[in-house]
Amino acid sequence: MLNELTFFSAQTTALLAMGVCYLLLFTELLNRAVVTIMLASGLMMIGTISYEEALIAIDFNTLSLLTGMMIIISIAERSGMFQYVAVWGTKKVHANPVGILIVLGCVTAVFSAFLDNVTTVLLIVPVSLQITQKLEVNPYPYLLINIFASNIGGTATLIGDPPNILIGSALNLSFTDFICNLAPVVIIIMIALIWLFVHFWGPTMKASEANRKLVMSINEKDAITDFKLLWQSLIVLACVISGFIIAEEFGMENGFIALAGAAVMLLLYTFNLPHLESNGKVEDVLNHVDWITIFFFTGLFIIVGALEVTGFLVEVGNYLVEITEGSLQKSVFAILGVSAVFSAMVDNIPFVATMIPTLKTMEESLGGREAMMPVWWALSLGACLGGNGTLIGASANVIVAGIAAREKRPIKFLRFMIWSIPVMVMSVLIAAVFLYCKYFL
Amino acid sequence: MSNAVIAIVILVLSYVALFTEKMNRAIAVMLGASAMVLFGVLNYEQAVEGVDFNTLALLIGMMIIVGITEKSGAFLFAATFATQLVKASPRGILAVLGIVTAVLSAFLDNVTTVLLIVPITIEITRKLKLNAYPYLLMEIFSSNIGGTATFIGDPPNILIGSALGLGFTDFLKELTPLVICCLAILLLTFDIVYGRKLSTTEEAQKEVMDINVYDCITNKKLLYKSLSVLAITIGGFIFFERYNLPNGTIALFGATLLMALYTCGLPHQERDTKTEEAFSLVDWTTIFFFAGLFAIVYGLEAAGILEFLAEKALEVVNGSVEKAAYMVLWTSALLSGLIDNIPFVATMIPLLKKIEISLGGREAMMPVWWALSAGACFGGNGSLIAASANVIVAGIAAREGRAINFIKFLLWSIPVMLTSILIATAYLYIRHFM
Repeated sequence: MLNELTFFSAQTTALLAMGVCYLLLFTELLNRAVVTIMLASGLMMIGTISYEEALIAIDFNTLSLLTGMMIIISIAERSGMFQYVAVWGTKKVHANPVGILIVLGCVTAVFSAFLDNVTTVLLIVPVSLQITQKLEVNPYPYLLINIFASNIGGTATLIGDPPNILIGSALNLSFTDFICNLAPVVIIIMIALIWLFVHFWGPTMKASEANRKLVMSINEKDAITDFKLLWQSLIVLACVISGFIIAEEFGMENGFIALAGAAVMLLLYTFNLPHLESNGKVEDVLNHVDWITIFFFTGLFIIVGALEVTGFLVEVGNYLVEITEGSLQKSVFAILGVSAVFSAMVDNIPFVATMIPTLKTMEESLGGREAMMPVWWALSLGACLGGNGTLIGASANVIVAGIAAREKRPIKFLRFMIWSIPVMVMSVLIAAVFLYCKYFL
Repeated sequence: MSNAVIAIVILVLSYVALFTEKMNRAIAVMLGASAMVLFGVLNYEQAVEGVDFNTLALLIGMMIIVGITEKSGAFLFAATFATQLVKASPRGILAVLGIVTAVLSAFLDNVTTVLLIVPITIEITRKLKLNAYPYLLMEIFSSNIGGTATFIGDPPNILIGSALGLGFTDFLKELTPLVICCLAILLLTFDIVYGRKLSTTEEAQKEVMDINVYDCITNKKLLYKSLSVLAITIGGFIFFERYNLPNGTIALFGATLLMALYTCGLPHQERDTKTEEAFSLVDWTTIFFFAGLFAIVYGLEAAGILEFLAEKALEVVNGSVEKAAYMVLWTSALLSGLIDNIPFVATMIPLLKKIEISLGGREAMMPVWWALSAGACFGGNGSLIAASANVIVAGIAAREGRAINFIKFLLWSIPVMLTSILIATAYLYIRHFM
């Protein structure tokens, strides 16, 4: 196409685009969706990757899964069910500050295993702030545990975190594959995290009887704004998640199940409303899908696709095989460490998106798909747990910092590292031990 | 049950849900598409394969570009400027608003066009103490006619152009002359029936002339940015035709370029919020509607129904391209007068593709494709519910206390539609079959 106008080979052009992409994402000069879509369409215009190749490179299953889940969650969250669970949990521990710390940590982890992390913290942080304010205790440990638990909990399932969605979709892994392989280690890490927090923060946490009574007087049922919607969304969510689990037998993609679930959810949500009102509601829900993320993914898939079709990723794969000397064990620990450090510094999504096709080229030298599974789990664990490394390691962290700053409780970048680096190192070490015991002992 | 029966049942159910407006149209087709996969007519990969992502990208890109451009006040400026150009004479305004509507709708989608132009029209006619009815009618008709002229003017054209890999200039060469003919006759008729009888006072005219057109521009910087991006995008459509790059890519590039210009220099948080807002300018209901519809139609194709219909169609037209063209023209016009033309065109495209070879290949069959476009677009003038733009104008008019009556509208709409289809028939005959 226009290749005659560019001075570089197609491979150099693709590499240059990826470099510019990382640079712009890191400096945050432009919105991330704008960055990847502009570069991707640019690459198509100069012919580095053709339209047909681009369509193949885009993982529509990931996009459908994200879009579908975003629609379902954005309706479900309108019922107030997530706040209900948080308040209910708090009252179960009799508003004891240490108990609340544990409960909020667990609730965050469980939610983020099923919702995306940003949604989780958007739901849970306001509740945490409200409760700590009433108890007159320092909210800092609560916010910290919200951040850490959201990143750790998201690692447990196929839909918990974008890296898992990417990996699961690219390898056709099932919902139960993730639960069986990752949930155990996530539970161990969560226990360690909670122990750490209770040990360090517990002794300093005291709340007066009067304040505790105040919290106990919150009626969790007030959080529910719409009982009918609550039941509807619970049923749809249950159907979708059991759909994920039984779908493997029918060979049905998760993206399809999520989108079909979203259609049913939308139908229930707008059922029997007058025409104009139902159109307005549908529009509102669709506008709430995080389109920036969807387009960011789309563009990224194309840029990575360009690296792939120009043969660059095969070269990287060969190089990786060379330095790990074809040893599976070495690859696992290398991937775990590198992806953790990397995702602590930059967005983990482009990293994982690039690693997936690269690792796929190594499959043969490492003994096939089955044998290589530990490497994939290492990629998932490293990328997700690495998000705890710094305040900019994951979007959820940035969001919590944003809410906290608005509530006059800013989280400082450096002060955050005092906790975040140990937490990240600890969780990655646990993951390493887990992988070693499970696969190499 | 065979796949064909299941596919037909799903199609009928979803089209019934669409036309009775029992549920939102995006939901109706999403459920239909899900049913196609659930009952095994399609697997998920096929459903994705059936979606024409180029159409979606083109729609999304253009919606973002137009939505941001609108914020600059560019379109309001154009309409006011045109009004003052004819010295605010009622007859002149009727003609000039008709032309502005047609030109805008050739580049914007019809709904956006009328959403922009109708409020201005109501304000101007109120100032001039005129009956708004002829102006509103004129705008409905010219928005549907004008949209036919270009690749991006109307969804049927986007569908056809994208499916056949046609270029921007193909549409300009083939359909623009026809559109100009139809528009000229429409303007003339309106001038004779309404224009000459309209009158207003000197005072009122002076009031309209006193509006400062430059006040309409709310953001000058944004105006320059968005007009340059619009120019780059349309230039890109024409330039990349010979490289066979689908237009959707260029539209998305233009959209992100404009978003970058629109948000550059802002602090981080504000920039992301504005980008999010820009994405909300996209009519996502329409996008999901298209995506689901593509999957449903692909289900029909996979079940072999289109094959069957195509054979029947071939028998009827007897292998003659000319017959096929007229038949497609009139059927699509009549049907689009009654129902939404998008599902119809989406179904017709794969069907017509199947009879291509028997009718002598792509080149020979082009008249049939142009007939489909002209029929589906012009048919939108047939009744008040035939096109979304009509419904929107009626809605705004009703809110302003100038309701458009369904039956009274037919008095004008049927003759206008029939005339334009007759002109199209003559045009096709002269250009391709004489």
